[in-house]
Amino acid sequence: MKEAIYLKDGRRGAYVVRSDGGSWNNQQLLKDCGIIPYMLHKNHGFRAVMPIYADKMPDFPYLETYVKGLEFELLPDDTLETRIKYICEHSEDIDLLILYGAYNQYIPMVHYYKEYRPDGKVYLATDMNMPWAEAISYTYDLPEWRDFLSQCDVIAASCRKTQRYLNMKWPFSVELIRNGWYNAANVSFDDLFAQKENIILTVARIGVPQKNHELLLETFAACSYDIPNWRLKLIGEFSGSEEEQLNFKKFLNDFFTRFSHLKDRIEFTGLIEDKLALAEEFKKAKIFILTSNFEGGAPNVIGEALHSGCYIIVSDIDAADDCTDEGRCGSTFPIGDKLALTNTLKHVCNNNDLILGGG
Amino acid sequence: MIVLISIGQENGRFIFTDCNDKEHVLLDAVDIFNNRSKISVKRPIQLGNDILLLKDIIFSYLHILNDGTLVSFVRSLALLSILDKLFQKPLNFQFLQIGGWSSFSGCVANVFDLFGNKNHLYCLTNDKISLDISNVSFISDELGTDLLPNSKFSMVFIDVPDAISLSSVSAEVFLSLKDGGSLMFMADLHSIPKFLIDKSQISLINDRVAFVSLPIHSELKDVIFKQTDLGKLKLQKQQVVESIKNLSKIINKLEFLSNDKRNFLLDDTISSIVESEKIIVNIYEELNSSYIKPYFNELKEALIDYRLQDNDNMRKIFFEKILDNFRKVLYEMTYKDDFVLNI
Repeated sequence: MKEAIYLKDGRRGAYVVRSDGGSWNNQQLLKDCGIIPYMLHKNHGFRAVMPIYADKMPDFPYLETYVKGLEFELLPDDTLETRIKYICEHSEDIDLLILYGAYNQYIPMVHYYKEYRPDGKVYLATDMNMPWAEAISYTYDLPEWRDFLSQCDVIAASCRKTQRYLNMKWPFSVELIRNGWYNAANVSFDDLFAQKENIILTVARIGVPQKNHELLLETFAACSYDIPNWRLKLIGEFSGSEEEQLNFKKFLNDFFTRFSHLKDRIEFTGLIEDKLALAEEFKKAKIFILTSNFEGGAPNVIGEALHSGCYIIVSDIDAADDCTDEGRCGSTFPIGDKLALTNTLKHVCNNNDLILGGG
Repeated sequence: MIVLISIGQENGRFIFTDCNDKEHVLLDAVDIFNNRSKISVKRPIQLGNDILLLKDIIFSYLHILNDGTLVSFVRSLALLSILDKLFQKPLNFQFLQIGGWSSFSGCVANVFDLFGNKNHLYCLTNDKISLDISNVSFISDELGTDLLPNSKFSMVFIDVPDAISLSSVSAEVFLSLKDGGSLMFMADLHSIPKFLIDKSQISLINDRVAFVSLPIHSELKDVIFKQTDLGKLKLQKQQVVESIKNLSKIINKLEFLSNDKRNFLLDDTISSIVESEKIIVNIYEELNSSYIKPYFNELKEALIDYRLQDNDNMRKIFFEKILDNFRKVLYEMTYKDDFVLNI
């Protein structure tokens, strides 16, 4: 094998290339796709580059405050050919090619990359849920996928369930690399439990059907008399298609008509981009809750909630056991099951020892 | 092909003069033909009538075969080799003939009958033959030699019309022979390695073709077995077993070692487990348990997590994970598969 080629200044290069022709958003810079290259830059001196397609350099507030050193390069268009050309032209600088998701578009990218840099490394973070894993496991029958996967030096899944499944399906080692959390704002977590309040917190894109916030609100209402000293806080911007947002707003109008007495106990904060302010919210909450119908892989937000000492309540998504350490620091409930979630909330909220033990 | 050489017989000594005019005694039946058999009295062939019958069978058969063809000539050599073995150890002689039923097979069956009912002729053939002879069985060769039992036969004769190379003989044929058994075939002499020529009984038919009787011993079978798919698989499994054994030797010491010593041991162990995982990945489709591969990966992961931990409490948690995954791997390897661990 050829020796690694170093950049002229002696640094190595880690490049995160998207499957599609789009761009990253500010929040993603503090998710795995941004943290991994940033950590390589910060801790190992890599040049960490994220090529994107955009008319002009997007506004990335986190770039200046939290992940300074990440580099962005603008592609002239959003075609696959352009991304392949970029990889070929920069192959000498790309010692590590990082890919997120198992997408067809990566097949030619990796093929050409390995042609130019057979000694280069490819990290494929599949970050997928079980339906995706099941669908994709059969693609191994296709020669181009077989070649693609065999050219990836590290293949990872973000939760144990999909990792174990893929390990049984594919003739490769599939590693478990959970979506991590980075304390970018250098938040202090001393004396954590003294700051906790009776808050059930969720942080997500609010109102998108996937997150099933209707279930969260209905359940909170159903057990509100059993947990009278508790408040519910939803952080995030209202998201989804226009129709989805309209539907959710209609739901909220109806909800607060029926449960007007809960207006003081339920708070929608909107998006909190300031990581220090967001960390304060996590630190104050005793419980972090996710009521999703499904997740792409392991939810990024769980790492932050666990680090902040929150007790986790999560629907039975593929990563549920990872989120709760198989029940050691949280509880799970069947997806969409209002009765089960009601019982879980009543049980957990009225059991401070359980929260302290789990958090 | 017509052969110009033949087998001579003088007072019960069967002699083959090879193409270099060198004489080989193929069978010394002087004693037995003169009723001075050294065969145990517990064996059936003792009385004069039996001996006469045996002589009759041999001479008739050799006469029938004396048609000058190479196939007949080789079969004559095979028959005499069988008799030579039978005279030495006439008990439980399991003979495999690879090739169709012929007058040669009938002759062998008759000879076996004289020597006792535990001698048996197996005929590997696709010919549909209906014979009701108690000491003859037919094995279908639809699957070739793949399903031949291990260490079953005292002698195997590959009964084909042309000389074959040694490399064309499947490993399963070698492995089907008992230790001390022999493999007979008409060989392309150039295909036989020198070290085997020195140990074999070679009857030169011409400068290129010979009738070869190759003695099979356990060392040779081991070498051959390691070249089979199954042998390679077992060898790979053994490599994995070694890394697991090494881990088992240190696993209970880890928590009591100094950091430096623990890290040193762990680095070695992790490297070995990583190599073993690569083997597992290569062979996982051959394994009976589909859980060995994921559990092995999780064992590696726990070892790496443990190695990276500075915090004592966290390290204890990861140590428990090492133990948990180690138990899972052991269980799957020994109870769900056939890894031989003896830990």
